[in-house]
Amino acid sequence: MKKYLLVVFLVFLVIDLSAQYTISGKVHDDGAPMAGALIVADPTNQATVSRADGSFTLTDMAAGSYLLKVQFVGYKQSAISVEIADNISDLEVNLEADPLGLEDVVVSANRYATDRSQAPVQVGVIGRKLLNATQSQNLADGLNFQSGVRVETNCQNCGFTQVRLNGLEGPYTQILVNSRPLFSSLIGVYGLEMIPTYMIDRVEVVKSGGSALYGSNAIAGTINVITKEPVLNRWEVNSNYASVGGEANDWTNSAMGTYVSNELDFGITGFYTNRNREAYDANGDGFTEMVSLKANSFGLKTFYKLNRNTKLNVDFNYIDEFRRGGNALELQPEFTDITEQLAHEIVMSGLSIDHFFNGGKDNISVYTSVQNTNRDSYYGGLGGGRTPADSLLAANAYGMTTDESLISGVQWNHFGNDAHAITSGVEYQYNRTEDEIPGYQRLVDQRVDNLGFYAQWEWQASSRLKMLSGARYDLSKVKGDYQLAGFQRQIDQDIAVLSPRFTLLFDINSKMQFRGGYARGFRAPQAFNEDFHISSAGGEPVFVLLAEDLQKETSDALTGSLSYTKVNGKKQFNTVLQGFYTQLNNPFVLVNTGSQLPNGSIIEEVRNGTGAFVSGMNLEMNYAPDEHWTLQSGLTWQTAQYTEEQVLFEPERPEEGDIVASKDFMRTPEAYGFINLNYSTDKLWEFSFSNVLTGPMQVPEILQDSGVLVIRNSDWFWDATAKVAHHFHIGSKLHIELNAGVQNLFNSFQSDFQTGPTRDSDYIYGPARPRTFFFGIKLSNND
Amino acid sequence: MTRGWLIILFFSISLSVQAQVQWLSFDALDSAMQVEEKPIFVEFYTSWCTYCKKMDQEVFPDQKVAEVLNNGFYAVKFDAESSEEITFDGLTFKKAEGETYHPLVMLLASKKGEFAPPVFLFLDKDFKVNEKVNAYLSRKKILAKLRKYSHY
Repeated sequence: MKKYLLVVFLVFLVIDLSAQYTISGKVHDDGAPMAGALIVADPTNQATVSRADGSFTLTDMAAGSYLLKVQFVGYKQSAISVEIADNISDLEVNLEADPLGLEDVVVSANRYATDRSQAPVQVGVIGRKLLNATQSQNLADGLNFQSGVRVETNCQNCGFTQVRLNGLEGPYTQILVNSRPLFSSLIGVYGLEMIPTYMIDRVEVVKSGGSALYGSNAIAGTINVITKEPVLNRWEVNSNYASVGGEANDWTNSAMGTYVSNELDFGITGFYTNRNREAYDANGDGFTEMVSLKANSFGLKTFYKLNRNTKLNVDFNYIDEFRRGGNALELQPEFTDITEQLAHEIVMSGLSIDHFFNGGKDNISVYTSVQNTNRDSYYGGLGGGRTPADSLLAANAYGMTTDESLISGVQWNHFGNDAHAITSGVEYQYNRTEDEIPGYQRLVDQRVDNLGFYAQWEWQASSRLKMLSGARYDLSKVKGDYQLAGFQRQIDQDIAVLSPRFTLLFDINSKMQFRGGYARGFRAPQAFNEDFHISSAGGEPVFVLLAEDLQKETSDALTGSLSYTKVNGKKQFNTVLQGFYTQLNNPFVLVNTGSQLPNGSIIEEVRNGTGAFVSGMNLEMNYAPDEHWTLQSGLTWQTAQYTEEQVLFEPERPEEGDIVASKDFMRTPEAYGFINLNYSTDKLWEFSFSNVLTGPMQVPEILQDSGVLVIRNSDWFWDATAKVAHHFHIGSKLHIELNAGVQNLFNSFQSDFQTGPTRDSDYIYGPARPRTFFFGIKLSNND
Repeated sequence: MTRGWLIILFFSISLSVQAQVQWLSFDALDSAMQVEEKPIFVEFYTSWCTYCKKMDQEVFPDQKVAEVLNNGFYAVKFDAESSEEITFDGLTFKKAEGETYHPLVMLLASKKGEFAPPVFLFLDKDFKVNEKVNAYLSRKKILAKLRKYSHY
């Protein structure tokens, strides 16, 4: 037998003396994989080291006989002889502990944030590269590039945008900046456009209801904007020009600088952005489809390490924004047919202290942030009429809003031994909004106080199973006074809600993971984002009023996902299939009551519906064959329905038409997604193509002549962006990037906007802009 | 050939006392050690490691740091993702298809099979690990450590 083998062996040698073989196997200690063991082939001294799973591979081995010596500090050396005549893939080496031979190696401890693949909750990430490639200037532009997320524009007069997560409207999503809620119910209206992308390191999206840590109104999920952690000394100057539809000019200029001391104990970042966009009129009727925008924002962030374990962070942001839409933008608002004009002055400031103790096993954070907004608004105009009454109303459509909020809390994190991590905390939130438009006799005076207690426990139950359970208890107090002409509504409610959450992560094998969970959430009755916004239809303003006796809304959400990741050197492949089901109980629904005030204003009312659910699937696929190419894509199929038909339009008189009701959510497509393909050469060139796909959806339209509401079906939209960037390195101190491209390449844009002063300004859907050419220049130091 | 190369190496080390660290490759280390034995400093970095960049910008160009490194040590810089064949201490290491990091990284710079850059090694003349540091080192910290392992 042996002889026979030898003959075969010799034949092999004769056939190909220079044949190269690969040997692979595994090193373990009584079945447990051993990483870092040294494997040396005697006599050639070819060597390698075992990986985290104990596996090793020796390449380019010539045929012959070898002694494989396997050694690891603290273990007895093991040696096996192998005859190599072919590839060998199943070598098993067992090492025995050798307690006498222990040799100390000093390793200084360093903490690293939890790897995304280890988190029990499925987190989707929109990274810097993707934000860059898709020419996203602000958060609103970038959010489309994640499955289940869609940003829509809701008003032609003011450009109000909102994000929909799994089909649910803006207020169902909790937006966080560095894991802290910053948006008040007012800032949520325009806030997405106020965060410039150069501040963003990445955006983490959790698409499943409720979060024990971040507040229970995260029914649809959370969007967590993580800002860049400064390390390098940097400066950057940016200038971008875009030509919207070949007509409107859009300039964005920004500058930022960062200094971080060599000891990493002090750092400061400052930034400034200026944006100036002209209004865009898609159909030549003299009324804007995209509003004019002038914005300046300025910010400072700084940290100081009081000692090795204590870090103090202070940040300050100032935003001054002016936007105007409607017609005759050169005139004073009261002489136009329609004007929506908003001047925001927002000041935000925050302070936090992080302290590590107990050898880094415990961490306490204390934080406070305050926000103050002053808003001068004008929602109105002559509405096509020229009667004295019209003029009087138009002259009195100026409003004033003040909004202040405060968030303060303490959070304690405890990382036990490897198996347990506990997070708990208390958070107080306060928000007061006063919105007054004397001309419409409108007043909103609302105060919301919320005290939340939460605890979350992460338990690594076995090497393959990790569980996360948590609960949040909120005491919420809403006190509001809502007046509009003759209407008077009041809310004075104390609500106590317990919202539990449970998720688990199971490693099926080294490449496949299952995640599943349940979460409960709620929203207290109050005026949200869009309720502070006034649109117009039929030349009259449309007001939102809260129904009498509006009750809280609750949700139950279930999610399950399967992910598969394969990493092979620089080749990476990852796919996630996520199913979701969220049930809303007593959801807030907006009903057009058809009633008009004597001055013509249209009333819409927020009422409690009977129930609703959204369910569907998100499919994500990411592939990077090497360091030059990346492909990212996401697709969502979903349904969003009320359990009973919901009245959307309720005419007061029979001649105003029939009741319009639907089970389906409006403005929610059943299919939508994105794809991004990126190619970069080693240093100098970058090419990218991306496309945001929006499937058909139902959109309500208030007809101009009759005031009757009808439901339209929209078409498919393909919003494609192509971009090319070139880098120049001048010396070691200067880096220049030039880029150019086109957004909405195929000009896939809504074509049936209403026209003139009596148009329905909310009848807007699909991509945010028509075909837009852009180019930009970026100067920075090399990093 | 090798000798000529070594002479050049020596010249460059002794001539440029200021400003720049004379980085060696692992392969050149053996020959350099044959000429003169010195303790060894090794940096494992990757192209995407921000703290490594900060050190490249602010720590290694420092005159004092460069002086101590050049005179008291052989300084080796190694890209953890490189796939070249390396001979170190008489053994030949080569990255296999599908591996993210070079086997040398797994041998010298990993902790429980995981690697997180930057990692610094302070080796003595016999290639024995005196200290392994898995963290950013400021000018002050690196000087303190270097002086601990070399009398220069």
